[in-house]
Amino acid sequence: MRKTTFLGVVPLLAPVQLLLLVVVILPSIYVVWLSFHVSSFGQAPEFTGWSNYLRVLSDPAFRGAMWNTVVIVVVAVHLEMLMALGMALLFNSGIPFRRILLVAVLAPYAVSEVVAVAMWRFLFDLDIGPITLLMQGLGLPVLEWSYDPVDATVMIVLLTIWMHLPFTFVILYAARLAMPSDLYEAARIDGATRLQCFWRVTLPLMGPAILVALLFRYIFAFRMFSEVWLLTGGGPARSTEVVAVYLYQEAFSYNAFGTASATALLMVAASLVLASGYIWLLRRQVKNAR
Amino acid sequence: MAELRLSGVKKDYGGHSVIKGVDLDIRHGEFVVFVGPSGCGKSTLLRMIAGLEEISGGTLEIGGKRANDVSPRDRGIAMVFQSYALYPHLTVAENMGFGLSLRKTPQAEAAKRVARTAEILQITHLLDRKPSQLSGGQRQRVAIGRAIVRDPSVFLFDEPLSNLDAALRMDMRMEIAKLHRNLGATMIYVTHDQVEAMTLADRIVVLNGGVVQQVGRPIDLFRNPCNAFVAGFIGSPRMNFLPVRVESVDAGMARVAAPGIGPVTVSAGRIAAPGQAILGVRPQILTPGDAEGRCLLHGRVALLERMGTETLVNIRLTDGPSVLAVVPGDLELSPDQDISFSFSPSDARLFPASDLPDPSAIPH
Ligand SMILES: Nc1ncnc2c1ncn2[C@@H]1O[C@H](COP(=O)(O)OP(=O)(O)OP(=O)(O)O)[C@@H](O)[C@H]1O
Ligand SMILES: [Mg+2]
Repeated sequence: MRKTTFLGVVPLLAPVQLLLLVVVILPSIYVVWLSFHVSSFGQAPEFTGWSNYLRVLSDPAFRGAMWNTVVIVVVAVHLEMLMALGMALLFNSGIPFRRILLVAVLAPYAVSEVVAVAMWRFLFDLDIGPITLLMQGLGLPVLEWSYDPVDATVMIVLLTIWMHLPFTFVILYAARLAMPSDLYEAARIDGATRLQCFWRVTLPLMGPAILVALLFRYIFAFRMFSEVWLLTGGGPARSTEVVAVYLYQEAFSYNAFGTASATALLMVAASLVLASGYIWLLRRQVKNAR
Repeated sequence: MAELRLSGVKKDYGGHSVIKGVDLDIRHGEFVVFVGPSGCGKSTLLRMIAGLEEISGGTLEIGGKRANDVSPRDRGIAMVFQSYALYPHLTVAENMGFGLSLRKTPQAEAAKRVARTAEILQITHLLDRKPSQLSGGQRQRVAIGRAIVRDPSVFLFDEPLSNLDAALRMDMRMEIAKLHRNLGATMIYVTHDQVEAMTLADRIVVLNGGVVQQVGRPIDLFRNPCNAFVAGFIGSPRMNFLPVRVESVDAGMARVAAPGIGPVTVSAGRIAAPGQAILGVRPQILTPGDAEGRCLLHGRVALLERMGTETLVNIRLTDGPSVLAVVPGDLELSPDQDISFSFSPSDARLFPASDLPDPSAIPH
C-alpha cells in the first residue's frame, strides 16, 4: 500500500482551497477590515475603530429597517408555517387532482424572484392590475402599496409568503408522508378523535420538521432583499426598508462602504444567533426523540 | 359480554372482491385464529372487525349489537399490530396509557393500571424508555400491554410475533396463551404460522381466497380436514398428495389405484363415483418397510434431512411423484438408495381432484 502523507495530499486539495480563499475567505476578511474603516470612492480608507458599528446602531434608518425586518419575518414566517402545515395535511388527506395541485403549489419556487415581483407589481397595479380591479369589483379595499406604508408591508408579506411557501410546504409534506399510517390506526383504536390525532400524534411527530423549516425560513427571511427592493425600493420614504436594503443603500447609494460592512457583519451576527438557537433546539430534539 | 357474529361479511376494493361472504360466530372468551396463505384476506377481515376497514356487505355484530358503522373507539376492541405501531415520541408508560389519557381517566387510576399491566408483562423497568430504545420482543410486549391496559372485551392480533426470532416467538406464544387464560377476553389472532394456530386456538378458521374453508378445533381440522386445501394447510410438513384413480365406490369405501400404488381400499370421503382423485398421505404415517394390510410405496431416496430426533426422507417414487416421510429417530440412509415405505390405508384421506386444480399452489 502506498503511504499518503499530509504534504502529499495538499496539492490535490489546493484548487478548491484556492477558490474558497479567493471568493469567500479573502472578501470576508476584507469586509471585516472595511467595517473598521471609513471608506468611500476616491478616498483612502481611514481607521475609525468601532465607530461604524455605533453609527449604524444609532441610525434611525437602521433601527427602522431592523424593526421592519423583525415584523415581516415574524408575521410572514409564522403565517407561512400555518398555511404550509394546513396544506400538507390537506394534501395528505387525499384531495382530488392532487398531482396538478401539487404542481400549482410548487410553481412559485420555479419562478425567478425578479419575474415574480414584476408579475405581482402588474397584478396589484393600482390602475390596471387584475387583482386590484377584481377587489374593486367586489367592493373590497384595495392594497395601496405604492404609497401607503402599511399596505406596502402587507404586500411584501404576501409576496414573500407566496414565494417561499413551496419550501416550507415541501418539508412539512415530506415529513407527513414519512409518518407510518399504522400509528393513526393504533390511535383510532386507542380512541383518538381526528383532533386528538392531530394534537397528540401528528404535531409532536412533525415537530422536528416544523422546527427545521421554521429556522431555515427565519434565516432566509432575515436576509430578504429582492422582494422589498424590487417592489417598493424600501419606500415610501424608507418606511418599508429591511436590513438588507439598508445595507445596499449604504453601500451603493451613499457609497459608505465602512458602515455597509458593519451592517453586513451585524446581519451575520444575528443569523449566527438564530442558527445556534436552531442547532441547540435540534440537538435537544434529536436527543429526546429516537 | 363480547361475542361476535359475522353474517355474510364482504369486502370489495373497487369491484375487486377480497372477502367473499364470511359467516362466523365467535363466543365470549374464545380464542379464534385465522390462518390462510398470504393474500387470502386474513388481515382485511380482522381490520373490518376492528373498524379500520369499511364493511362492503353483510353485518358484524359485537355483543349482540350491529357494529358495522360503529367507530373503532366505541367497539370495545384493542389491536396489536405486526409492526407494533408504538408512538415513537412517547415513553413506554405513555404509550400504554395513551388510550386512558384520551378518555380522561384520572391520572392516578391510569398510572395504577399501567403499572399493574407492566408487572404482568415484566416490563416495569422499561416504563421510562422510548420505543426506539427497546428490542423487538420488548416492543411487542409494550404493544400487548397497550392493548391490555384498556381492558377491552375483544383483542385483535395481526401476526404479532412474525418479526421475532424463533425462540422469542415460542416464549411470547406461551405468554399470550397465559394471558388469554387469565384475562378471559375474546381474542382473534391472525397468523400464517400453523404452530401458533394449533397451539393457541380454541378454534381455527382456515381462509383461502376470501372464503372460509373450514372452522373447527385444531385437532379436528388436523384429523378431519374437509378438503385438500385444509389438509395441506394444517399439519407440518405438508400432507403428500398423490393423484390416483378411483375404480369403485361402495358403502363409503373407495378402491383406488395408481401406477406403483395399490390397489387399496380407503375411506371414500366426499368421493361418490369412480374417476380421478387425490390421495392424501401425511408424512408421519409413512413408515419404512412393509407389513400385512399396509399400502406399499417404492422409490429412491432423493433427499435426506437428519434432525436427530426425526428424519425427513424425500422419496422419488418409481412411477411418479415424490413423497415426504417423517420417521421418528435417526435413520441412516444414503442418497439414491432403493427404499420401500408403507402406510395404513385407514390413515389416508381421499379428496376430489377438483380440490387441487394446481397442487403446487398450496404452501407449506
Ligand atoms: N387497499 C387495498 N386495495 C386493494 N386491494 C387490497 C387492499 N388491501 C388489501 N388488498 C388485497 O386484499 C387481499 C387480502 O389482503 P390481506 O392483507 O387481508 O391479506 P392477508 O391474508 O393478511 O395476507 P398476509 O398473510 O400476507 O398478511 C390481497 O389480495 C390484497 O392485494
Ligand atoms: Mg396480513
